[in-house]
Amino acid sequence: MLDSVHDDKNMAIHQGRMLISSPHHMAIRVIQETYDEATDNTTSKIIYKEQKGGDEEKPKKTTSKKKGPSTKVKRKKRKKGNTSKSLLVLVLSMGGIGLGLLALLGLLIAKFG
Amino acid sequence: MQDQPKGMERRMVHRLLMHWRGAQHTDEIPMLDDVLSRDLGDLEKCLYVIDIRGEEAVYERIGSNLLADGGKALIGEMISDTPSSTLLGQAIKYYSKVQVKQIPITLGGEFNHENGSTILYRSLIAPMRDKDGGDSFLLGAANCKVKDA
Repeated sequence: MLDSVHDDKNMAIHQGRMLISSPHHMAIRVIQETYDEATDNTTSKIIYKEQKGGDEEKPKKTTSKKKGPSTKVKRKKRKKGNTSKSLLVLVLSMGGIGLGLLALLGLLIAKFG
Repeated sequence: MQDQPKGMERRMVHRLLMHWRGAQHTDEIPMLDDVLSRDLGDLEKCLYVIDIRGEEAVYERIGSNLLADGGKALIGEMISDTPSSTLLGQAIKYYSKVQVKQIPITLGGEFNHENGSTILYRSLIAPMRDKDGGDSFLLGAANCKVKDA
């Protein structure tokens, strides 16, 4: 979710820090877009990234044909991956119980014919 | 320690963004009245409001600092009538981008004023809602200083 656009790097990073310090946001990215008139290319680079309780990532560069030199603050509202992780644990647990039941059934069949 | 934006112009933009965010209930665009009813202090002199409900965007309100720079005759007038070599003329240049993106945008730069001086300015335009929930207004702010020779 794009929050705001600034033409000043310090201002953009400051706004990003403001957002992450609020209880409503889990993670923010500040993306710098640089437009090259000669090539008509826009280079995007993450210049600041912060996640609550998370780790920092190295800046990534991408290139697109979009106009507009600016620095943007993007915000993420929810942590992704928690649900899938929980589901994975649940599936693994269910699998373990199922295998146990199958083994018990096999034993019973072997013992009582 | 957090980096604080330096310079009066940036502080103005920063303070208005704080008020804009403070008037948000969740993630939605805040209502104009909710922002204007806050204690804006000396920011009010630098503010202007554009009504975008009609086919042509018109000035609904212009702060005293901008009125002094040729803005007095513009209240109720279309923003396309704004002289480009004034602070207001520079500050409203990107209003259509804010209309499209529906997020606050800040921009600064310099221009040659109609009085011959070179002006450094900073500005912000933020989208605003009315009571019915429509995207009806744009709230802008701008201030400037004469560039040292």
